[in-house]
Amino acid sequence: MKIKHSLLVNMITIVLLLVGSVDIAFSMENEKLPLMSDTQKDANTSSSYEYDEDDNRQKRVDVVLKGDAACTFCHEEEDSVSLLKIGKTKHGTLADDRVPTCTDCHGASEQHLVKKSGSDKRPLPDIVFPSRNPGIIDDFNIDEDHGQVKIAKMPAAAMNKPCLKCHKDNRLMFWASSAHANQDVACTSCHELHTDNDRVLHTGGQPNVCFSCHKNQRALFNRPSHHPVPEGQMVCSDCHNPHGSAGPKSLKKDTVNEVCYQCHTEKRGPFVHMHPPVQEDCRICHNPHGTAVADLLISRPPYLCQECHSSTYHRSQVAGLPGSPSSNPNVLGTIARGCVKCHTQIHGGNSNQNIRRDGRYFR
Amino acid sequence: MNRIKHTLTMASCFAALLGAVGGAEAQEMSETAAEFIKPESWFSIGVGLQDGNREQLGTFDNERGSGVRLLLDADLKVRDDKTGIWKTAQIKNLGQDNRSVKLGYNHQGQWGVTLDYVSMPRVAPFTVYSSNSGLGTATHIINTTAAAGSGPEVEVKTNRDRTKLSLYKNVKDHLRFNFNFSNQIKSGTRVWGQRGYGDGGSYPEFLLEPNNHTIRDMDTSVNYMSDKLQLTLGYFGSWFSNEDNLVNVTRETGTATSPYISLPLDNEAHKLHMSGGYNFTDTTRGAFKVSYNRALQNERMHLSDITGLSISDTAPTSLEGRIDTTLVQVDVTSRPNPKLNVLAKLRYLNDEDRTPPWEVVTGSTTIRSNPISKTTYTGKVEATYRLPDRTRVTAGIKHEFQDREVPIGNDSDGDGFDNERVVPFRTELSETTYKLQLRRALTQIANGSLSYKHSERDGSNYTDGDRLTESSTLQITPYYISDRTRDKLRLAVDVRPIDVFGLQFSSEYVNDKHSKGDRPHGRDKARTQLYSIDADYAYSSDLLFTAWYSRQIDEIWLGTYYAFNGTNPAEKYSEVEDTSDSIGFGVRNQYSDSIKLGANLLMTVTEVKYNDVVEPTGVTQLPEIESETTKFNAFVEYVGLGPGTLRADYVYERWDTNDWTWQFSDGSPYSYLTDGTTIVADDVQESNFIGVRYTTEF
Repeated sequence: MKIKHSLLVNMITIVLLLVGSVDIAFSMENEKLPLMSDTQKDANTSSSYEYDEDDNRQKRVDVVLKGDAACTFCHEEEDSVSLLKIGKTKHGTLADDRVPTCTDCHGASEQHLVKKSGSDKRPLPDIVFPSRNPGIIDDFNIDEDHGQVKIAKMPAAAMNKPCLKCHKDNRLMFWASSAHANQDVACTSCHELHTDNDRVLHTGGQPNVCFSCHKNQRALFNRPSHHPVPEGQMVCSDCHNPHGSAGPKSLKKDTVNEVCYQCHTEKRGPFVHMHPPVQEDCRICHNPHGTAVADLLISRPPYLCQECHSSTYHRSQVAGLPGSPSSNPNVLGTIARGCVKCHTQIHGGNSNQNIRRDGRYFR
Repeated sequence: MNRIKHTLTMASCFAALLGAVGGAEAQEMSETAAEFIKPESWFSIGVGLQDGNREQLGTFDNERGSGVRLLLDADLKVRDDKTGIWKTAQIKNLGQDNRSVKLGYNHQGQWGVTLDYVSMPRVAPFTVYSSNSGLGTATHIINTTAAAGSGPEVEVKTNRDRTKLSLYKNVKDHLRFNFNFSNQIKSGTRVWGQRGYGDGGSYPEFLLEPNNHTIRDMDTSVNYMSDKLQLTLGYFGSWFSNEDNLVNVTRETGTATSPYISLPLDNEAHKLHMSGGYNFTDTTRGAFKVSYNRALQNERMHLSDITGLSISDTAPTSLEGRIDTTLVQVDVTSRPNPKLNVLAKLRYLNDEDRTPPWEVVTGSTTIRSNPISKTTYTGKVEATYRLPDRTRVTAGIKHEFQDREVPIGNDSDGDGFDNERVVPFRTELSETTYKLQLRRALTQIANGSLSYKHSERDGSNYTDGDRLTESSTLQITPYYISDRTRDKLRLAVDVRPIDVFGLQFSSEYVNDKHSKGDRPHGRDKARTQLYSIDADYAYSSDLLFTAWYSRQIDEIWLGTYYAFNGTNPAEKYSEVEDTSDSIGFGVRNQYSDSIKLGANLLMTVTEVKYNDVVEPTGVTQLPEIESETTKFNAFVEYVGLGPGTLRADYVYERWDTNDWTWQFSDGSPYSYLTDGTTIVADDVQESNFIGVRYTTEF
């Protein structure tokens, strides 16, 4: 964009350059930069300066991204948001001609670039992303730098539009119908762009990003029996696709069991002696986020087993602890592993022996 | 015009004079820019000293006792700015059992390859003493003469080693190929057991299950992407193989009449899938997925090859197990006007168990394999409307219908599927859920959301089977298929009265009421309550505080039949209540340019209460279980000692419980009657860790 200039501004700029006290980009703000010499042109064609052949003068300079001069003219690394660190990321890989520039994501922002005369406040850029995880905030933004009206009337869908323009591979196929999209979660609610250490992409950082909204899951993962998410051995995205999916609860796979079979493949069967709830839905007996009972059981035997099994003899026993080693199955359904001490093949057995007891998940 | 010319001339002259200076300035900026765009790498090495016992909290890292740890981590990134090629290496916990290494070579936008290795240990949070031999192998020998607790300590641990190779290749802007292959080896043992036979009686005996599993996945797809249309066509294959297929359990004395226990047999699954999305307009999009999965389990059952065993003529030598799953899903989202969003979903999921219904056990009692098939139809419509006062209202309805199928009927002599069924079954289930949600940006500093869901589930008549209808007093309604009314209320409020202070409150209340009709037993109700508050405060840009508290209460009320040894019939009512309270604090302080401090505290108290009522006999209540976890860590970082950062960490962990899971009623360790195997879990575990590491960034 070419901007009108004046001789006075050119003169001042050149003087300032001579004394070397002010960054040319910063000082010029909205104004056009001075003419360049041939020496300058030769020296700077590949770096921070560019020369406008048509106009025979300097243009605003790109610092990190192609075309970022419109922004880096004012914004510098010391800003509260380290804008220039975008250069460290994949969005800053200039060799990839798909990478965007500032205005591709933040909009052309002409009103922001050209402050209205007589106003001491500069309008925000066209698209401003939340500077913190907004949780339930859908169209708020606090703009600390400009110290002014802090509302950017920008729905999450509008904020996400620049991202979705490029990111449209199969991982985002169901984004539009996902729970996050329909709860107005912005991409930047979870992702940080101006850093090469986007914590949601790291095992140590991702759970805390998710827990900032999913408090129920945080509470469960702090229970004694849990998948090793707090320990950094697993992350939420091992099971869920936060960008939406064809599965329930934004699961990566089409069904709950299919997710569990990623690691617990031995439970897939089918088995000769099949325990029906195993094939139906693992969550009938387990809560994958955490419980107070070992092995993620939603409650301990015999309570859990008696949710379905009502029968005579030891199957209907009252929960209790024996006082010593016992041979009486009527008192052994609670202690240690409870019922599954004997019914050890509770996920299914593959014995084809001709014995009646095999049908009770013994063998 | 003249003025402009004059300006240009003057400026040109000055600029010419500035040539050398300008060049130097430009070069300086170029170097600065280079710093901005250089990806950050770091390498960290150190040593840690741990003292104490953390069997419970070290379950997933195997750092259970005292010792020295090597601390070795790195995140290395190199980018060739001219070509856009990234070379990356991420190393985590290299000196420990829970290590991971990820290597990447990525020509951005063109192609890339990643090799990922992860080691995941899992160690039993207790100590086992057993005299049984061959534990964890394919041949177990029960020591029938060992005294309780007399055996040596036995390691109970599994380890997963997963290696994953990922490749992608872009062809122009529109095509992308993905290929992923992972090989996961799970090895070790886990607590197992058997119901003793023959001389062992009919009570539990201790075994360890050998885990020598290999899980392989291959996930490959080709993706087409354009502004309007996206398509994915893919194949996912999964293979499970088990090195062992049987465990032979014998006894040091006496005879085992049924000495073999089966292990999971090899299985595999193959899925073809296609999904796509199409932007009909700027405001309307459709997406779909179609997939077909076939899961197979047809390894030969090796019991058939063992002479002397009784195998029925009608029992299979290979299960010929096969489950076919078909999914068809269509989603449409639209914004017919700027204030209205509409979402519609249709889903068809068919699980067809095509495993033959084998008659496995014959004789006085017949037992057959019992395949279950089900088809689930789901429809959902949801609309969100934006009101003028920054409020959004969402209303929706979801209906799910499930058609469930099992083999039914009996033979002429009374044997058959119905006679074998021990849990009631429903052939149809139907659930409708209504949703209403309000979200509002209350002011510039506060936002809130309130949502309510109400659902009703019912189904067809229960199919009890002959085995259950012998006594109507036994009839139960399994909770996952019973009639249920669910009310779910969720509230979330986010307040930030000043920039430096924020509060986040959320609460959730779920109430399930189960209807048993004329059936006497089953779950009566269940309830979940969650209360959570988070706060953050920035005293200054150098001193930040965070704090949070969560309480979750889960309760289940269950009514069941109680007839000890078939006599003395009574009614049993149970209430199980799980409560967990967690509190966390964090502080970060940039004390000076060279010193940074921080600390975190996490405490969780979990209480499980049991309340049983048995009429008319009365009952001895189970003791409640209370477990407390405390984790405190503090660190200090010092910049200025050489080019890197010196960091010292202190970690304190404590696990305190009165969990009686592995205890008799007098508090003594649980032991098995036959083999004397004894399991001991420490009630109080405490550990301290001090670590020093040096990190260099470059």
